[in-house]
Amino acid sequence: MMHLNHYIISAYLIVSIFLMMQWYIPWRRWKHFLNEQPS
Amino acid sequence: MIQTLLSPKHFFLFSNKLRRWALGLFLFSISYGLIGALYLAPPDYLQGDTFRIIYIHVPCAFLSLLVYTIMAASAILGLIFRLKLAFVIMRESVSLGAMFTLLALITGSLWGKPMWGTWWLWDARLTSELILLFIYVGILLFQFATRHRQQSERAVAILILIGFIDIPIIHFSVYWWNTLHQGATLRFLSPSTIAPEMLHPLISMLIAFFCYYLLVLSLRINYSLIALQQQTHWLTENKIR
Repeated sequence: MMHLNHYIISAYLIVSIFLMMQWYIPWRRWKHFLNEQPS
Repeated sequence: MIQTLLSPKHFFLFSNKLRRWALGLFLFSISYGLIGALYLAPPDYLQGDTFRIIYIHVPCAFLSLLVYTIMAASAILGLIFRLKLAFVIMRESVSLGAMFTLLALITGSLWGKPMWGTWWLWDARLTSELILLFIYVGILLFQFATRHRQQSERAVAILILIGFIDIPIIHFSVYWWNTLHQGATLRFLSPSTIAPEMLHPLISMLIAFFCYYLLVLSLRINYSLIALQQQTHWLTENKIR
């Protein structure tokens, strides 16, 4: 039975938060740019 | 030839296709990697389940070195061939590389506490990785501080090339000095020192993190190229998806 201690949970959580932050900022700018394009 | 292939126009169109492939590969490899890391891989005989931090620590550490190597290669291409795109790749990679270095240090610290009994020690591998973080932060601050981009890009490129000396030091630190940090888990020229059922999710996570880097980098570069090339006709002529 796998036992996830708070070190493992913290490590995975911190990495997920940072990766999502770095993805979200350029993605939002890119979506904003596409929305501004004339169809 | 190189200048044509790496022209902003070609790269812009290529990266729109690349992003779909990278996203597909990322979703596949992160799914398998996470299932393998948290469920399929058996606990380590010595470290128990805490060793599962390896599946995020090693990709972050590997990317911190790889991103810097890509930046150094781009700096050389930019300085020799005066490629705009090489400078853009170099500039947009800095914050990503800094993030991977910081995450490698944080996850290493979270792994070190239960295994070594301390959050931090002045080990050769840890110290050289910390120096890499300072180099990344220094480059970031230099980029923010310099207003005139055309002139600063060459200075940033030279700064990156000087800082590259830290990369082989980080890699060989575990062999050159007597360190508490373990040696390389993944070996390319000889069999790896890890069981296959633990190795496969690790390789999958490495692929996922590399795809993530490509995805975010291509988004950032495209936006940067738009800012640079707003007046050129090819941007408005090509349908953007």
